[in-house]
Amino acid sequence: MEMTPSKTKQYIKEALKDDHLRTAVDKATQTALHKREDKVDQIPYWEDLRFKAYAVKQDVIEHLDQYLEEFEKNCKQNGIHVHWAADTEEAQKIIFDLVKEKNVKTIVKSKSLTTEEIHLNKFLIDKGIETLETDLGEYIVQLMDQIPSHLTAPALHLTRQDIGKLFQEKLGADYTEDPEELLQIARKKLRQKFLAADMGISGVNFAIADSGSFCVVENEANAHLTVSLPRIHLAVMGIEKLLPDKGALPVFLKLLAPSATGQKATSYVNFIGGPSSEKYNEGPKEVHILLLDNSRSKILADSRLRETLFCIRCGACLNICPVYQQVGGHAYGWVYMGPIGSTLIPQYLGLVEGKYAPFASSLCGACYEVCPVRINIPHHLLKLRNKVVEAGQSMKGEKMGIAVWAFLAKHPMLYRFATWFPAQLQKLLPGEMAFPAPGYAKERAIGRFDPKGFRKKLFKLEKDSKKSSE
Amino acid sequence: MNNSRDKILGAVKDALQQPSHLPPTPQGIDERIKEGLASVTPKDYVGLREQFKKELELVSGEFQLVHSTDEIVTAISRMMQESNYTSLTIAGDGPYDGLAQRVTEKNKAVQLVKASDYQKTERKEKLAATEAALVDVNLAVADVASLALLYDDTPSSLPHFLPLTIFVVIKPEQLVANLFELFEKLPAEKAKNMTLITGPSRTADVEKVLVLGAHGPKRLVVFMLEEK
Repeated sequence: MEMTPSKTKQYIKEALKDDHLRTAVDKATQTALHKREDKVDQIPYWEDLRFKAYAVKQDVIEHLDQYLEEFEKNCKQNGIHVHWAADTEEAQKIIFDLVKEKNVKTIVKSKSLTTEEIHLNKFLIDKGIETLETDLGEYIVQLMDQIPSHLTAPALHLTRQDIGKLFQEKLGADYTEDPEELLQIARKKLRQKFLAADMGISGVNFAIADSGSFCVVENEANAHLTVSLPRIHLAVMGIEKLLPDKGALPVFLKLLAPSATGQKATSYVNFIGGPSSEKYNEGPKEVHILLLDNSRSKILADSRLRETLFCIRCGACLNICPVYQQVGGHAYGWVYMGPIGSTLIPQYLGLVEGKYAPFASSLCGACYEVCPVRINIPHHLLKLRNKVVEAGQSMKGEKMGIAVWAFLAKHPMLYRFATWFPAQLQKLLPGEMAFPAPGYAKERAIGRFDPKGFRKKLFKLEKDSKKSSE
Repeated sequence: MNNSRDKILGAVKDALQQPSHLPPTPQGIDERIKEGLASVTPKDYVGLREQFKKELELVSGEFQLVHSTDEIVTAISRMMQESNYTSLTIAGDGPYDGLAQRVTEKNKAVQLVKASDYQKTERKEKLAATEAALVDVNLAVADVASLALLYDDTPSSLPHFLPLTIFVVIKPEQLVANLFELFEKLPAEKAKNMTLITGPSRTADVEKVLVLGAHGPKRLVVFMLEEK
């Protein structure tokens, strides 16, 4: 299913009408938030970890060229093939060339947002390569022909009944809505695929510059099997995913698990430092890593917005966001959603396609409070709103409203009249009726204008306060 | 390929010409983290062991304190029998292979499968069909109940992931307090290829309902062997 952030308004309208979706999203986000809070409470140095993570990321991002070169050099020493892709098209080409060269017919994948970003599944399947997601949530959304609706819980918007029907229809399984039985159906199906696959594709959570290795964090063991069973492994990684050395890992592992899934530690953290087939007589014969730019270097050029590259894709900002809680992930129209997605969409896709995203926020600041790496998301959303306006992409009604206000603000007499007149006009309305505001008033109660007007009330207040101080 | 490499690195270098406007980090963070860690770290081995046990049980793992290898053999034999398991996997050349052998002697219905006896393709298919494994790990982390498995030190890592039930034996000297201590202790070269394992595999992808045994083990039993 192709989605685009330029249709965000339409997706939001549809999502708001979908009570089923809102109930599912509410249940999932509240569960994640409670579990997170419980784990954070057990770490008295949580805030210090956040500051530390920020400092590490700042160092990496502001010396990214050096760390990338160091990582590349060490990967090569470990026997890892390093590829560089400037954009989606190039990434797809490199991967397909590799698939052809190595005679790959079947691929198993573990959850990777970066591969979603380059539409890898669709691309490979269209080329006739069987490409299967193996994380249960990702497998479900792939069967549904959807994109994930959450960074860490892809099928969060679906109920067990939805999944039961899906497995019945697509896998020929007997209908069940028992989560345990649903898992067994998927496990059985995918175990065979793991054993037969030619290539495994994963993302990268953290790459270690000074050792030329990378790690994949997961709970299901599907990423481990994706790495260890097929003969070739390919990891697709955004260029910002680096850490300087293994000493930084405890900080990030301690922050990631509670923030993402409300766990103290995820079930598996897999470290890959080269082809292990010869050394260990199992595991991949070849390991490839693809370093993807895809607009990241453009983001880096803004000396403040570059902070958005610190994101470790935990999804905590989604769970806490009052907007995300109402509309879910598909409303944003892209693989990155929620508050952090709202900053990334216009930066990755441009201010035309991504013009609505920075406005899908109440700017309450909760996302900044929970972000494990202290990304000041509300600040960045404001800055991006400015950019959208400066690029002439603000909405028509908004533009008109601001133009009218600007005109009145330059003409004080007219301004006074404009703030006084509605209250007088209102007197013509029967009873306590307020001005009709179609659409807006449908879900909200609108108050009446004060007949005295704001200016009069303010002057009176000033006068009264002077009198009382005398 | 080189073109893109140079293009990307060039773009990154150009972007970094812009001076940073990121807020500075407060001083003394490392010290405060150390103090915070110290405040929640048990002071002695027994405290660490109890912390490990508590954390392991919270992630649906099972902990058994044993004082002899006989106890391990008896416990595994019993659990294999209760589950009607007939195959037990070992990596091969491990310190507890002898225990697995004793399990099969005690429980004649159990067949021993040694991973290192099989070549790549055959090995993964054989192990995928086995029900249980008896394995060792390098280190155990008390504050999160993680087990560190270094591939350099085992002939096969597949027994840790493919069967439904995993029995792990650890000793007191393998226990470290937290992830910080773990990464300090791990030799850089060996840490390149390893896995941290915390409890059985799991998913909550269906309505956030936790289900164990996603694609890996459904049951993880850790024996802490305190020999007198």
